[in-house]
Amino acid sequence: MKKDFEFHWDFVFDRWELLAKGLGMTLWVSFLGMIVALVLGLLIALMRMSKFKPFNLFAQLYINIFRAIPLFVFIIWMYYGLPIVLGIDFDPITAGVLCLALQYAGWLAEIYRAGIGAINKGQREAALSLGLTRFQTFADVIFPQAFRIMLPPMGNNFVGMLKDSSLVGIIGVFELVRQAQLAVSQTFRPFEFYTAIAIIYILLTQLLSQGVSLLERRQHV
Amino acid sequence: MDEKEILCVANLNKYFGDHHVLKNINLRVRLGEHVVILGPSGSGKSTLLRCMNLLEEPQSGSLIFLGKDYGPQAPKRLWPWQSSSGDLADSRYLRTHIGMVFQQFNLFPHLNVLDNVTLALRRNKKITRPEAEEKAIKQLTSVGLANKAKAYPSQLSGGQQQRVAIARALVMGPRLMLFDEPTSALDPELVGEVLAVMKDLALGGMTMVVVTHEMGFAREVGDHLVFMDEGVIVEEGGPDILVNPNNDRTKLFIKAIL
Repeated sequence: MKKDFEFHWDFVFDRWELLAKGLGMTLWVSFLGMIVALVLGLLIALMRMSKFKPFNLFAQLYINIFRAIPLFVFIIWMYYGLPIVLGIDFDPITAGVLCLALQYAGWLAEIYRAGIGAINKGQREAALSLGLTRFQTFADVIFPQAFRIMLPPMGNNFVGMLKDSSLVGIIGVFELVRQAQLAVSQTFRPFEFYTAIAIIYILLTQLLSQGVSLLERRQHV
Repeated sequence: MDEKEILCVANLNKYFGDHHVLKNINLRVRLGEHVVILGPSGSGKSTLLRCMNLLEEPQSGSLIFLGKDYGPQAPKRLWPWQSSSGDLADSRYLRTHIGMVFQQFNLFPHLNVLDNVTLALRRNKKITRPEAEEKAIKQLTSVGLANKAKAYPSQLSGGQQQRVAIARALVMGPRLMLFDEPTSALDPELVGEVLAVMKDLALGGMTMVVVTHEMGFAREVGDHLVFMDEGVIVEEGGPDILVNPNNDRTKLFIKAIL
């Protein structure tokens, strides 16, 4: 083992503002992506569970396609391909958020479906027999119970998106990894910077899972 | 039509796929009557009960509740802007006026007892939360569980859960109560408390249709007994059919269960 390498953390501390900006962008992109994915995923899940065949088919197709495309390819395609093929030109952040959201909506749709499917059908019958509408039955009875089941796998997806958001760096969104690359090219201290952002990701993930388990404990079932 | 008739099932047919579960069923329920449906498992008793509030949709026949048809041929209310008081059949109207109690209680586990009982009131009747809670407490008192208002279903015994489920149905002010094997999932020592609540309800004049295997309850409370087998009503009459059944299948069933 070579002994002559020494970490010089002062390079990192000198450029903390750069990393802070990157962190802010990572959080922003992940947050937007997750919000859109949560809403879109629910819609896809409802379509997937619908008895109306075209909805069902569309949802299956969606899930199979969007989960299969590597995010890297998807981002390149969305940002560089769409303007050429369809003349649709997104700014990098929009393109990145869209890719994350579209892909994660596919994962989340399956989580929603499993969660909602796990609720005993007697719950639905009891709600309907009391004269609740189908929407009220879903909103007041089914979803709150399914939410509890869905929380842990959703938490995993939050973590996954947080890390996958680093891929939007390739189209010029200066998130955490991209900022670190920039810093490395200026300082030639790759180990320090990559170690630093690895620690940041670990802390973020820790924070997220703490948040999710806090939410879990607050649910009463 | 009989003036005291509250529910009339006529020529009702129900299929699950190819399986003909209910074969041309005719049944009348009069105001204040306590109908008890008996029969071996798989005979279609529960399906018939579930057709009465349209949890199962029959393929043909009519289901007349308070003079209005809710059967598959009746014009249906499909959109929120259509009046629910007019000629169109609205399954939600039917369900708010018919209470149902299930074998598995089906309390909402994420809500406490009070919220279980008040949920439908708060959503669909135009009353405030305090008013709904006052009604709920009254109803819970009648089943002896007012002190459990803040408890969650998982903290209650099966018997207590079923009594809450009864209160939850009663608080809507139903004209008719359906019971689908309400004591079958209970430990033997808890059956009594649920039957006692049901007897009280019967004595109070509630119209009831009960699917059960409790012969004691059938004899004591039932005044219109219906015996079903293989999707048909093979015999119906007063409590005396338990003692002197005419039909051979009724005889066999009663012999087996007593």
